[in-house]
Amino acid sequence: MVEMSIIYAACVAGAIGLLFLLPRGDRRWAPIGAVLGGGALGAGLLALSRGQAAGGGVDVFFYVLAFLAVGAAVRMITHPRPVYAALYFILVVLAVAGLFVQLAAEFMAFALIIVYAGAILITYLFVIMLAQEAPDDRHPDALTDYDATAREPVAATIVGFVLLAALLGMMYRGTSQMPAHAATHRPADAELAMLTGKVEAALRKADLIRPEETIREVDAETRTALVASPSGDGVRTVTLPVDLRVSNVDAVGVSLLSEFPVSLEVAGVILMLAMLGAVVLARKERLDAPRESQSLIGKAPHDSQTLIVGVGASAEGGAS
Amino acid sequence: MTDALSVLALNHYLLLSAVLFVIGFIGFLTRRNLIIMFLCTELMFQAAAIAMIAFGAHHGNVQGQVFLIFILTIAAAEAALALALVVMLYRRRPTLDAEKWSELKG
Repeated sequence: MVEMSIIYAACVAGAIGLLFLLPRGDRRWAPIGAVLGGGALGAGLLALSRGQAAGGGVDVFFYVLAFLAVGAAVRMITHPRPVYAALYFILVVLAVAGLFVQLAAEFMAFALIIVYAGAILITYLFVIMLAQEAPDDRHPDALTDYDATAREPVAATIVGFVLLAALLGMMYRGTSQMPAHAATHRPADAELAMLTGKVEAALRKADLIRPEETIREVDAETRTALVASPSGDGVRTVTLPVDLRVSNVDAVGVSLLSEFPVSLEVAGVILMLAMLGAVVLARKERLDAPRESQSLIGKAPHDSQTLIVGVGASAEGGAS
Repeated sequence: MTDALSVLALNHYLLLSAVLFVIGFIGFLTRRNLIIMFLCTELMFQAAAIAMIAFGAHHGNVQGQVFLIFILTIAAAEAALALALVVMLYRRRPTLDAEKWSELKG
């Protein structure tokens, strides 16, 4: 069992370290904060690994990836420049994807990288670069006031770490009462019964069935398949090859499409509504919009109008 | 699928999830840049995702992963709408300071 006193001490040290690291006017205290925060993180991980000595669980890659994730997350909320914060968030996403691979969730690891690091974060970077302004024109590198100083750092840090300590205290008391292996008892590779196409392809590749035969039923428990031939001379049972396994993608796909098909449709509708909403919200103001807001969006509508006039004039010239 | 995750290993992942969530929470409270505040909510999504996958591995099924697909959907929709709102606000008044928009409290 993990000693809770070490965890609580790590919470306090981490809170003080994070307090020093949060952006403020002077950066003098940042190294102390980094040492304290790193020490707290190390102490927490050490407490975990000492508690782990009793029985197997995670390997060393967990500690490396967890250190990366937490370190990058801290740097993300403490870095005064938004672009760097977004890049550190990509590092968090990569570390979390590594943890997913550790948990045998390969599909979600790649989906996370593609969706988060590839799509969402690029959108964030676009908006940051679109909307970031320098406080004065002579120093384009200067930070704006709202990036350089944190808002209520003491109160927020105390609240956050009290929440963390409460969560961890409850967690260690609660999860110790969970059954050791609450896994539902079902045969390994139970999804094979629904993946007849995959089974048939594997059997054809291994030359276990003749070309004209088709799979009628797959029994995942005994790892056999009922094979029928079109000529009607009865069915026979074929044992599945041992290397035919259900991959993570297969399992997720079967679960998604057989258990949650309606949710999948709703997710599609949500994505389309979000796309429409984003287009409606972020579109340029029209020419006939009120004059007060038009002055803020610059000269773009004006230019496009002259462009259209110019195109029209040249078209007229070409016609005559 | 591999063997089910033990309670001890599950605790590791839940601890990491709690730490990431709290860091995102503190970031959301302390940062004043609108875009960074939304980025911190994404960090909290990551924490929830770790807990989801770890519990799924503990129970030996893939429903945690399937649920994470829907979380990713909501996160993508939320990011698109939030960033569109930020762009709209920025056009109206060129600042990203959350406190400059305090009249939106109503």
